[in-house]
Amino acid sequence: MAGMSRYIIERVIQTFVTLIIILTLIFIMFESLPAKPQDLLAQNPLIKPADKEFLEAYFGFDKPIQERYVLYMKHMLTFDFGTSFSQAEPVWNLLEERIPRTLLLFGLATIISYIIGIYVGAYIAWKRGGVGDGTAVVTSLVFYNMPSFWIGLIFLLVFASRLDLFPLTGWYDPSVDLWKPLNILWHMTLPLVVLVLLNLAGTILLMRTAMLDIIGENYMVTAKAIGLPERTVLYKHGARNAMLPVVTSFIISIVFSVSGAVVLENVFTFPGVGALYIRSLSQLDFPVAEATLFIITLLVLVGNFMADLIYGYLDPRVRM
Amino acid sequence: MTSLKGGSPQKPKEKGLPSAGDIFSESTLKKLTRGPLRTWKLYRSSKTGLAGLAIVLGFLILATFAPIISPYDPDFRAPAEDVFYANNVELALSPDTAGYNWSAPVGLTRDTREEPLYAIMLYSQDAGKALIYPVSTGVQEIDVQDPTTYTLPVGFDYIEYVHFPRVLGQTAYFLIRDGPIVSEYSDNLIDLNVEWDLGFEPKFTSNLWNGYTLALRFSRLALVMADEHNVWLYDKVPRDAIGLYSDARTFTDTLTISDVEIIGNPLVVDGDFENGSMVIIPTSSDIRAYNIDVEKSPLTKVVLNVTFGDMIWRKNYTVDGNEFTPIDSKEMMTFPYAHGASDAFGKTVAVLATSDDDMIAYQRETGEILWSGALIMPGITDFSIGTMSGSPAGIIVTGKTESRGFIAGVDAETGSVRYNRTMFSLTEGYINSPAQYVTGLGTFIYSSDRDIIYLSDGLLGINATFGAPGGGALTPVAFLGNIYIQSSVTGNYFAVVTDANTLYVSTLSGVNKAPLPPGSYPSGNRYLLGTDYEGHDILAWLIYGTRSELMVGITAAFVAVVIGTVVGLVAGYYPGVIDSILMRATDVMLSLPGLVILLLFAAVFGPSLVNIMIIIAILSWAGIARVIRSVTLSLKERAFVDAAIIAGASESRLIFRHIAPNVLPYTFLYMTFTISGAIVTEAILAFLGFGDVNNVTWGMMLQYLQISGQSLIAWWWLLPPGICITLLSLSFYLIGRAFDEVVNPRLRKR
Repeated sequence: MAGMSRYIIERVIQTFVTLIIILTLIFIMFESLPAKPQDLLAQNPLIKPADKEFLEAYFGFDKPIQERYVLYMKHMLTFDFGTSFSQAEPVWNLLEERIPRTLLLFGLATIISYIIGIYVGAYIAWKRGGVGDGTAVVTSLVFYNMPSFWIGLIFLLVFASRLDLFPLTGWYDPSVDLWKPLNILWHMTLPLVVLVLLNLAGTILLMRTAMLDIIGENYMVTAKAIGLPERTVLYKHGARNAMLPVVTSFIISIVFSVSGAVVLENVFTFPGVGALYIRSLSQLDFPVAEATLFIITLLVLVGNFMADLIYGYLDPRVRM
Repeated sequence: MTSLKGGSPQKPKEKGLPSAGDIFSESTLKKLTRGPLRTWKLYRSSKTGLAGLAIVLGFLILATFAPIISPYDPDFRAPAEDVFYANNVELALSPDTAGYNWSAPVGLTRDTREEPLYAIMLYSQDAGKALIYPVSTGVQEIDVQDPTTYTLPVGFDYIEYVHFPRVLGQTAYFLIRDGPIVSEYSDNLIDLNVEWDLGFEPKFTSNLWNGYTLALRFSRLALVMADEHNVWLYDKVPRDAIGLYSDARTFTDTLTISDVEIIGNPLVVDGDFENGSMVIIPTSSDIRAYNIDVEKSPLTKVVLNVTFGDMIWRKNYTVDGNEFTPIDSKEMMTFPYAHGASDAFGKTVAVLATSDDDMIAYQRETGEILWSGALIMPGITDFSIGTMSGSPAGIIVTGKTESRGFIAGVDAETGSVRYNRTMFSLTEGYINSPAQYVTGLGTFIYSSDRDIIYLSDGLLGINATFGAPGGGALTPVAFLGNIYIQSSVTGNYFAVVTDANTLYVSTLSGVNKAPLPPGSYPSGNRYLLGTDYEGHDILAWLIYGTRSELMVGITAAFVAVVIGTVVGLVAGYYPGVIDSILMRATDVMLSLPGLVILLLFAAVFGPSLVNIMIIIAILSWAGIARVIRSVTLSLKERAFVDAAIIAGASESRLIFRHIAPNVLPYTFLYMTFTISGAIVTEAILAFLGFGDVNNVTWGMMLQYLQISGQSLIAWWWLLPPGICITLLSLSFYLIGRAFDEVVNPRLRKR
């Protein structure tokens, strides 16, 4: 593809620069908090003196701010996260098992919702004015404006508590006698469905709007006039172009999806990165908070990057 | 407004296929600037837009007229009769004793609180009288009989009622103090058994150690009274196991401390007769512990004598090099109440309150400081501490600051205030009774000087309140004892003397029924949407919450839009470096997982309405900036701008008089979308715990639901706030969509 490699390189550089900027911003924010890690360390009886020394060296408490900054950047970029305050365990151990879980949940939800959303959005725009169109739009509008945790709680109440179809917690429960992957999937179903529903709403709305825009274009009229089959016109010519704004919004919506996932992990007691983050905030566990924040940001940026790649594939104009 | 006569070469038509230029056509702008009426006409054609507008107006009406529309005000709590099963009775105090000051009622039980209540006593120091009302046991309803009046020395001080079973019948004693004389009366309050002349007038009395030792199966009473230099020990030992002494025996001893002054209550810590009975005494310069020597017969183990022993340890008032000042108050020390086995006492602590609103905890055996500095609230002007018995064990601190009273639970082992709900602060008045544990209900009961009685769970969340009947309470509330039916507790008594010189006795039984589902209740109240865990009416909170919702949403969105518009205008108008920098900043903002990062902010800077609005504004401005920038860019290219430049307009004139007004419609448009998002974002922040407790919003209602553990049960509490959030957010969104069609005419064709 013409210009693709240059485009990729551009995007990589851009992502990296953004990462550095964001990390710096995060560093500034942590520095300006009134509660300081060194005070917390001093008060916590659980941490052994050896660990305390290690953490002091790790954070560089007595060094000037520039050196601390360098230390911080070095740590983050080499994935060297130190030891948790609250659990006296290396942070990476805590993250290790959680990252794949969050990725699984979040990734699956995004993929499913976008695939369904693009098809449904394009289809109802094509067949506009029908009952399907109105219903889908109204439903999407309602779900789009719903708080994510609320619909999660309702699902829990109805499907897990009242109907007893699904478990109450979000992850693998060894006490249940079921093949492990299926076990995991069964536990994950409710949060997945909620995430998919919410993402779907936005996608359908956007895809529909974009499609409606495109349908009026001349080339679409031409395609129909020369007798191409309806499906070809709809999907190959129409949807493919309509997808461009959808992919753009995908980039923005990743950010919101991640926030939504963090909240939902809370509601469904899903032991992922988001749940760890919120816990570390309430315990003021700095190493864990910094590390999880970094990981979450990284996930977002990687997601953006991949969306950019897809966009580059779809729209040759960008590569010029 | 500039009128664009003869203006641009383009003359777009409203009919026919729209062209690209229509998006920012002057004709649209003319319509908007010249006629709100015409805007309305265009807007009106969208049904969803009208629906959205109607709903928003509906909420606005709710918010404005909340006090009129709402069935209850937000502080209302369902009364106890709806929340618990309750019976009550009001008894008039005898005519000849009316008008005197009465004590808080005292429940007389056999042995300990864990036995049935058999009488209620009231006493009046200025009348020199005590009234005892017999209570029937074994019944669910209240059955309180007429009182008997007893005469005692005027100004007497009631100390305790001790009850010891014996071989035939039971022995019961009242301990009364009159100046330096301590008298022990039989349970008829007439026969004087013994009198001690202390030789000094006590200023301090210890929390009485009234232990139930499993080995001996009887109560034991240890009491210490002191003035500045003298300490008097009173120890009533029950009959022994082998029947050598069939009656309880009393031992007394006096200790004199001449070098320093005693400044607070001595604390008796009992070691089950076997090891380590001691008394801890705070003095003006240090805190010291003395042994209590229990002399037993080696063969029979019968207690022969109880006396003061040597000093075990002494610590001065220095923590980490800082010297603190202990409060010179009557209720200075306490420790968790523990039954039985001696190893439980290894953990008991003596707690001292200091004048800087802190508490210091000493390990009782060594005097080592276990923890210090449990600052609960800033600016405390007065506080007292008591035992939070039952489970979880801890220390209850009640007190007041300049503006409010509070009660907090502090963990006895670590000194930390248990997480955010184990503190309850009143908006008016202060707590005037100790927090008393009510067995069977597993709750605490206490009262405030504003005549309200509270029933709290172990986390000090309020389960129910009672207005003090008869218009006001004269005394603090007292938990009296339990109702037993076949040795299980089925209910509890509490009582208070009311203004009308009436004794009000009530029973509570059963568990807390809140949150209450929608319906009508015994008090005659109807809760259309039910109540929450603390008895607040949900409909009332929903209506009053509208105010906070609208305020937060609109203000935050407004700030975000202002920032975004300014950034967008500047970036669009000044190309080059400024544009690049601003756009990079915007891009970074958009690619940040903003909510996640700002949770960090909220966690540390604290949840307050202003902080939340700032957070939402920061999250939202970037998207608007982008749009405004592209609008500005294309406006800049428009011919009317060129015309204005030719006509000699200056730069700022260009921006403000020509471009900005044309950008405004987009600003309004995106403001509606931002409000929509702000409402949901606020709900998420509130749900995660970052809501301002003083301004309840719908999101916080859901957070309370989650915390109370009722989220899978109380559907009437779960559904309404969420529906309102969705509805309000959706309505603003629909308004935005409809307005979008006005501003972007090519959308209209669909």
